[in-house]
Amino acid sequence: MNEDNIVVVKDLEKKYKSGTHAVKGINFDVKKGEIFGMLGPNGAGKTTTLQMMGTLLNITSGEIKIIGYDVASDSNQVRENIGFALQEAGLDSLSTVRELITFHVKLFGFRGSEIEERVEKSLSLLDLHQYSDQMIPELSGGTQRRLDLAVSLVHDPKLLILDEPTTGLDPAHRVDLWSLLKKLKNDKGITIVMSTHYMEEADVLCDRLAIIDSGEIVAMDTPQKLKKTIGKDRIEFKLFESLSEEQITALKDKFGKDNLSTKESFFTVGVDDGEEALLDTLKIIIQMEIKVKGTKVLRPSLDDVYLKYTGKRLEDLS
Amino acid sequence: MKFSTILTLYVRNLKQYKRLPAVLAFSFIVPVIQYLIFSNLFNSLSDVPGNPYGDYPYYMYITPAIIILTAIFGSVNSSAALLVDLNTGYFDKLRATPASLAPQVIARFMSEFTRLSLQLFLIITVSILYHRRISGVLELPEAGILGLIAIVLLAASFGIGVVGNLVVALAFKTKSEQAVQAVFPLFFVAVFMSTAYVPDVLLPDWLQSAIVYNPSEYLIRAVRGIFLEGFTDSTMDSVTIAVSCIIVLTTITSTINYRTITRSID
Repeated sequence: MNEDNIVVVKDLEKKYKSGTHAVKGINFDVKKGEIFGMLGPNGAGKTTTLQMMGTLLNITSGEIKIIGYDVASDSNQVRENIGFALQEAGLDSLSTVRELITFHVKLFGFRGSEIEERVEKSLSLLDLHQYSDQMIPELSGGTQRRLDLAVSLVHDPKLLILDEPTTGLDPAHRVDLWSLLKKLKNDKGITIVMSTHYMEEADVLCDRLAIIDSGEIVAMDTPQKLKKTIGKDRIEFKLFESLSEEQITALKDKFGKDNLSTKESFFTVGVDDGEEALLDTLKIIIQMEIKVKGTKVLRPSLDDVYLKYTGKRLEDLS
Repeated sequence: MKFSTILTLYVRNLKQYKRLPAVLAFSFIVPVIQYLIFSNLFNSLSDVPGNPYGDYPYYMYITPAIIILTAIFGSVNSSAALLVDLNTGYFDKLRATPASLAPQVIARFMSEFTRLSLQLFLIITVSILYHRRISGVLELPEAGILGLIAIVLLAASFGIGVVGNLVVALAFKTKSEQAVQAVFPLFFVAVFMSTAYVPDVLLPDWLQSAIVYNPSEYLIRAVRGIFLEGFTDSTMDSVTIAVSCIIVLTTITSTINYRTITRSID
């Protein structure tokens, strides 16, 4: 095993007794300090994979190693080194915030003055001081998520597993959580494996991404490289009037036949970097006396990537 | 599996009860009310000719029945806190920590056993105080403190071992409070179809034949023997049969419970 790899998943399969083949022989590694995402619609096998990593589900075949420990045979060591936040913020509804964090600190074997130190640290890290004596059901969804993270982090785990961490949160809380996860990665060097069906989340947060469909990984790379597989950026020009045949020929000569696409009062030009090339391309078009009404840079999205590899739009499935 | 983990969970479970006052009240108040109503309603049963327990006031005769009923009531409610954890997803969250499956289940049974034992001591205290009110004498049963401890251990072991295991299995299977509570009448009927309220010779013939198949009957005989007669030879025979019965039934219900729980993670 490469020492930089915190997670190694080999030929992992999960077949439920009901006959559902949820995970079909997937392989991936996660490097230390990386945020690794699993993108796919509901039912793709993301949660099943994460639950097997977190020792919550038995593995049908294959293996998962976390920090060198086999999840099936060294489950106790695995549990001591991971933090796991489930899809729903699963919290003790009969506790206050402080009681819950204290309980989790004790669960990980801390005793004496260290308990209070760690509780205070967790309250500060997740900005929960003002809620410390509140009962958990009284908290908002976003605060419950933060608390869920707080109790998952009390023991400074080497790996944080997050199953759809922002599902059910409003956009503002979602962005807050993204900042927090980035902070955890940058300040604490924590490795994160997360699932999501939000493309923006995957794009903004993940260093690498596995696209999952029907229990199989169909593509895996950085979000940027995955998007590159779709093709170039495109600059769209909206026109006052349709292009003449002469103008189309001139554009093809200038930008290349394959980079040009025309449709009534629109045309697009393929470029490597849309934002960088926009001004120069616009100058050329103006010099060609084409009257431009507006422009737009179109970049390949992860949904385009998903469409390419699965034939389906993730937006339609989620 | 570390003992310190189980202990941490056990203490947390005990602290949970203060936030579940309805569970505590329901499993305690109902048997007390039944004790007070039945002991007054059927007071004259002691005077029925042929009653082998005619020497004892009826409220003393039914005290063991109320103890067993408290054990069963309390054990059916033992899934309440567990269901809260199962339905909020917190049980699974804990499973990804050192509090994996086995420590959580063991700690849950330990805390339920503690709670139930306290409730049983309380109901025994009520019966002693009621006896004082009626007779004017404050006295312990024949078997003394040791006898009371034996009664509590027997009843709590039956409650948690047999009833508790079944309701916990049901809780894992259904995750529904209603489904778990629905089994209560079964145990309630089982207690009624025994000598809990009426001595065997006064029962109809068919019931006299049927009570030998009722496990709760053996427990009632042992508890009644200790409570009314002390540790006599015949009481010790009843205790031996009751303990054997608890061991066999707990083994069966634990196996059912184990299979149900392990299936839930497969």
